[in-house]
Amino acid sequence: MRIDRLDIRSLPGLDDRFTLEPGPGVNLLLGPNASGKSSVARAVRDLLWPSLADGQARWLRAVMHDAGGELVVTCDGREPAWSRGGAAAPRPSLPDAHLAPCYRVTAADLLGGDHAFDRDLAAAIRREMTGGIDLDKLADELDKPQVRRRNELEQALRATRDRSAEVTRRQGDLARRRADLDQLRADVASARAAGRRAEALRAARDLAQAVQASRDAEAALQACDAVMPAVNANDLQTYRELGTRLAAKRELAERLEAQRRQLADELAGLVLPQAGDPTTLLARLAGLVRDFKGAEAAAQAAADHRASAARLAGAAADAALAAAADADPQALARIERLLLETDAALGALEEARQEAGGGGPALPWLIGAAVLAVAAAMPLPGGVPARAAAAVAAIVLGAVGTRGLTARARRSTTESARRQRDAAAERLRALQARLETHSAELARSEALAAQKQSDRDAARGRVAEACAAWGEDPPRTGAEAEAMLGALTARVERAVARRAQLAQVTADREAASAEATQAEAARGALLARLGLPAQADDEAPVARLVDALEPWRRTVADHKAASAVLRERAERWRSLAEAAGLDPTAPDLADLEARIDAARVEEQRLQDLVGALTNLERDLAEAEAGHDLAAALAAEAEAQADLEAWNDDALAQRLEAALLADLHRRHETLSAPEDVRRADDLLGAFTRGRYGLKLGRDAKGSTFLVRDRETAADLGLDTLSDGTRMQVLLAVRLAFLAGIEAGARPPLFLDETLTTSDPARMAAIASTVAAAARATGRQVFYLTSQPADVGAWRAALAGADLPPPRVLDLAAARRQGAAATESELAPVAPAAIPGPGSDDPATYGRRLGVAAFDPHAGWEPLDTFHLAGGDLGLVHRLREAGAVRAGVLAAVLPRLAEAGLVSDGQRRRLELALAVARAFIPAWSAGRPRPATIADIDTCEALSDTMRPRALALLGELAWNAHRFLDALDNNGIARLQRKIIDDVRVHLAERGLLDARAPLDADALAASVVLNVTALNADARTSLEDMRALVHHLLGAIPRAIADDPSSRPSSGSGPSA
Amino acid sequence: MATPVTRILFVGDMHLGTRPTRLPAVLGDPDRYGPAAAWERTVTAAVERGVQAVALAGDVVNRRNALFEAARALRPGLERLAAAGIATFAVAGNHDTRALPGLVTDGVPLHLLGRGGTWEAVTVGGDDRPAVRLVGWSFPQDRWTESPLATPPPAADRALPTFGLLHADLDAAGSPYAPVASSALAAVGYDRWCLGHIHTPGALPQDGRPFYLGSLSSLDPTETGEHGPVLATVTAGDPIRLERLPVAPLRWEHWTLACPPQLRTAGDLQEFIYREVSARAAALAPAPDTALGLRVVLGGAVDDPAAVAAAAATIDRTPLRQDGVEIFVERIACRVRIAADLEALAQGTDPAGLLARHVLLLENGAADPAGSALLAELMDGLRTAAAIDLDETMLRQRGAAAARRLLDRLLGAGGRP
Repeated sequence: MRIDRLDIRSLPGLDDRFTLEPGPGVNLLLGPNASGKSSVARAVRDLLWPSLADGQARWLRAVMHDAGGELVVTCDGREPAWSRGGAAAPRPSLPDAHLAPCYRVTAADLLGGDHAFDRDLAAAIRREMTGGIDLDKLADELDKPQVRRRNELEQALRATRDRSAEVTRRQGDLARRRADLDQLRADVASARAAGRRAEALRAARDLAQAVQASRDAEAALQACDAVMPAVNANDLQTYRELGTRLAAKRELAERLEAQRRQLADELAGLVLPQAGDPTTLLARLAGLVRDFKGAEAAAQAAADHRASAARLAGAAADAALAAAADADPQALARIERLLLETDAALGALEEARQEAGGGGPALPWLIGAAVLAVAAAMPLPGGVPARAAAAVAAIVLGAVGTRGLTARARRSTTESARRQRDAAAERLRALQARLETHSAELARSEALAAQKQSDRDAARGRVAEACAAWGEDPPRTGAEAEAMLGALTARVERAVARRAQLAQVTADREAASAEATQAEAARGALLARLGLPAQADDEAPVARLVDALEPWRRTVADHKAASAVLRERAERWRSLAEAAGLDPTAPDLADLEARIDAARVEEQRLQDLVGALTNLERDLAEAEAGHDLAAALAAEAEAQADLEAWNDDALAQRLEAALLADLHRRHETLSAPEDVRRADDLLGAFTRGRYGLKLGRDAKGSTFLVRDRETAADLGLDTLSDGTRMQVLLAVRLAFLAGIEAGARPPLFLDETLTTSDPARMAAIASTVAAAARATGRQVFYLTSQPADVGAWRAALAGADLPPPRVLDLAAARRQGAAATESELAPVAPAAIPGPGSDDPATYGRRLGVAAFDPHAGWEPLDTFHLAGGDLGLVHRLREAGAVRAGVLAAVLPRLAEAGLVSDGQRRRLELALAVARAFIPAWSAGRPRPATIADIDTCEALSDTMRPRALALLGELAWNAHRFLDALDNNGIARLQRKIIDDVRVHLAERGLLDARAPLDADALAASVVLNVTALNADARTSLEDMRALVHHLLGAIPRAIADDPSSRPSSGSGPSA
Repeated sequence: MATPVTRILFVGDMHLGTRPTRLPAVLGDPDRYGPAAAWERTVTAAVERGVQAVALAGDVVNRRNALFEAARALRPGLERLAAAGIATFAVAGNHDTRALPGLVTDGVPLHLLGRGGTWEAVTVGGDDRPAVRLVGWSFPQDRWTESPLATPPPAADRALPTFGLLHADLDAAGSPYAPVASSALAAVGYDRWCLGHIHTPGALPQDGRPFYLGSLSSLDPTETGEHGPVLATVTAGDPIRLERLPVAPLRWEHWTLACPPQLRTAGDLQEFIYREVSARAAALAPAPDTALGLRVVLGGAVDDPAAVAAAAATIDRTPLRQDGVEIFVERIACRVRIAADLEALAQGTDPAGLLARHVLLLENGAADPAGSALLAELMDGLRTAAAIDLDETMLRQRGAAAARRLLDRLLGAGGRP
């Protein structure tokens, strides 16, 4: 279906009417902005899909041409009417209205929005091409190798290996120690013998010491006094007691002797009758004295009676005297004189009595009594004593005259005498009478007294006679006799007592002497026992001996102990000497200490040796009885098996994934619907082979992916430049149109869709679109406001040997003046690529700016310069055809061959070179994991946001080498990073293919691997082995040294930190 | 009067000091099923059968555990044999070169034949029994790249039955373990060549072709089949008879059970496995007081492979005790396929058809370009993704299995038969 004429008379937005007459192929609808280009497209759409019109009235008419001939559609109002040959005709079979956007592609459609239309398109295509099977979903459901689990299993294996290595090492050590067992046992025996020997030698030394000690003890004992055994600890005390006792007894004896002598002297001093028993004599004397005393008592009684009579007479006299005194002062005076005289008389009487030897004459007394009686007869103051005294005085006075009276008179006062004179006179008279009576009595008692006096004198004479035997003077009185008798009695008694005392003292003295003798004898015996002379009181020798007793006893004890020790040590020596194999009869004491020291040194090893032997025997027993190593090895085997099982499962999972990916790829390649193939072809044509198209999925669902054959990257639409994205979607829609069109092929309107393409790309697109239009008979309208586009189109179509486009100057058609001059519409020549001329390959390569080969980027970005085998003309042609990269070349090579740009031979060589390049990458990559990238760290969920910058910094320092990075993490390269996080990072990097522990292949091995793989795919290649090897070496040479030597020295192209 | 015979019990690789792996804990002490237990049973069998000699074909001990634990296990058996008047001979295998000579010098009643890589002959029997010559060669060191026949062994003697006892790697030129050609050994002319080294027991020959005695008892799940010592009976005038004695305490088997198509539930699968295992175990007739370990592969074409796989994950693997034998399933792998006509499927152009063609390509093994290309693609994929290298055979085999599983998934996902 093509539009031959379009009449627009009324259309909302256009205020004039005009007619366009397009050509059958490409029509360039040129006009400035707002000149109605879009309105023209809308007019065609409204004619073909009136349901999309806005409902306003319009007048449009198009004259078309299809397989049935001319076809006219007219819209006068709202609904178009179809006619053919003037007759109404049915609307031709056109795609559904919802597909109408496919026929008008605007830059805004392609650049904006979420491409929901294209997504739906992709989803529909995917479903259609997989027969309802969602391969993506299946891929999601496939089990993935759990690298973390492998990590755990590897750790477990390492742990079990460490364990078995530890047990093996321990058993190895033990085995080596077992070799020393016999020597150790011998050493133990030797050490034990040395120990016994040392013990025996020590016993010998002890024995020698005991012998010496015994000798010393013996000498010490010998040095002690011989009497020491007889010495008692209390000897000194005994000696002292005996001495004390001896002294005491001696002193007692002496004292008793003195006493005895004193008693004897005293006894000798006592006068006793010479003959007769003193006692008897004394008794007789006592009788005589008693007689004398009786006589004297009788004389005394008579005297007393006489005195009484005298006293009575004196009283009578006193009374008479008193009465007289009272009656006559003169009488008193006389009395006083009488008293004085009495005193004198008494004195004289006493003197006389003294002179008479006790017996005075009675007369003075009588006189005195008479005087006294006179005095007494006188009233005297002062009571009876005075009166008695006066009476005595009167008696005395009576003896001496009137001296007592006088005194008596002096004692009376004149006045009292006067008071008593009267009374006294009275009484004087009475008294005178009584005086006379008493004077008679007195005379009679006088006579009796004289008799008795005589008796007394006789008795006294007998006493005196008896006294002579006692050496005593004869007593004058009985009292004296009695006193004498008492004295004699006392003398006798004393003599008796003295005699008894003397006897007792004598006995005591003798006893004391005997005891002294006994003590002395005992002391002598003690001294004799102590071997000391019986010397006088000198305790020093005894003390010395007693003091020496304890030392002596100790000496004795020491001696005994030394003897016991000697016996015990002798026995011990014999026993030990026999055990040690020494001569027990006589210990060899030579160099004893040195030998002991030597044996001790050896002996001191015994404990260590026994310990070592015990430990070794125990360890050996445990090792032989245990199952440690068997268990460890079993655990290691199980861990190894677990890891292998994981590897097995992982291999299966990876194979499934690889198969699925291959399936996906192959199916898309082999079974992809024409739509996708066409779109791919178109895109390849648009981009001169750089890009290919495929279906894919992203987070939003099905979409188209673009394979950048230069970088081997699959790119999403969102990541493409505007121009490329427009080209992709244009290709998709163009391809899709063919699929959905069952009958008519409506014209395609491209509304400035190539404005973002570079001239070369635009030329490619233009020629492709034109070719496609020509091939399918589709009419194309390219709407542009740029006159230069016309030139570009013209140049492109001319370059492709296609008919030139028809230029529809909308401004001119609307009579608004031409949009551009003819010169502005002239074709633009493309920039030329320099030919090789006479350059050698290296020079030409430099001139072309051939990129270095980085295998980490894959084979697609490889410059085709490296694949041309030095054919510089081919290099030039490939570049002119846009096949600068291997990926592009692989895509366009058939077309280039078809176009005659490469010969068949060149094509085969290039195909082989491409196969080699493909095989080169995995072979070279073995052991050369790609450098890590920022993305590798950014996608590592184990690292926190704060850790990521530090990880990146560290990774950068380590030339983006993942292995070294992990080593650094293991060595605390990032402080406080937990072990679990490090393990997770390791897993993450492994999952991203950054860890490869294989050894890189050398050049020959690499070439062999490549050749093997290429020939496996292409048996014909076997004829070109050398070519392949040469190419491999060439590719190796094309790799920059920085990458070849250290593949991790810089980040991979485009994705590292410099990107 | 009984015909006089001379009996020699040949024992293959024992690897004393090794503990069998992958035994379920419920079986208790794994050493009950290990080489030491196998050796003890072998000694008992030798004594009970009144053999004249026991010949050990090397790798008596595990090299990594030869110092204590292996020796401890070996000595009592040797002493029992000596006490029963049975001589024990051995050649040193690559595992024994350090341990076995030490044991011999340690007073253990063991005669090490061919010490230091020489040939040595001893005579067994004699007197009232047929004399049998035993010729052996021992590894001089762990690795020995020369053929033991580089030094000629004693010549064959038609009048004296001769057994060669050797630890060597048959038909493996370049092997570091005494490589020797089968034909060269057969050409020596001995009546039998009893070999150690390979743990898989060989078929018992009727002539002088060498055969592997195999490990005395399975050491790990990969050592499947019947293991045990081989009793050689020499009767004057009669052919030599060889018989493998079922004394190994542990046997491993890998069984693929063809699941019925309608199998789906865990209960059905449990019953199916139980029935199959029980029947197959009964057919093996293992000796009592032994264990039979199984790795089961569920195969066959089923209606719902996913259901079977899910059921397989829930299978109760409690050991089964049958006729005194502990039977346990160590691993179950589900390899059931969906019932589909692969050839017909391969005619299609959809993914399933393409994958079916992959399966056929890989399974057929033909060296066609398409298959090679596929293998190359897979290899590249493996190398790139996981740095894995496989040889073509392995890659083809594993690739075919993976393609099968993927096809099952694909068909299951698409709901297509």
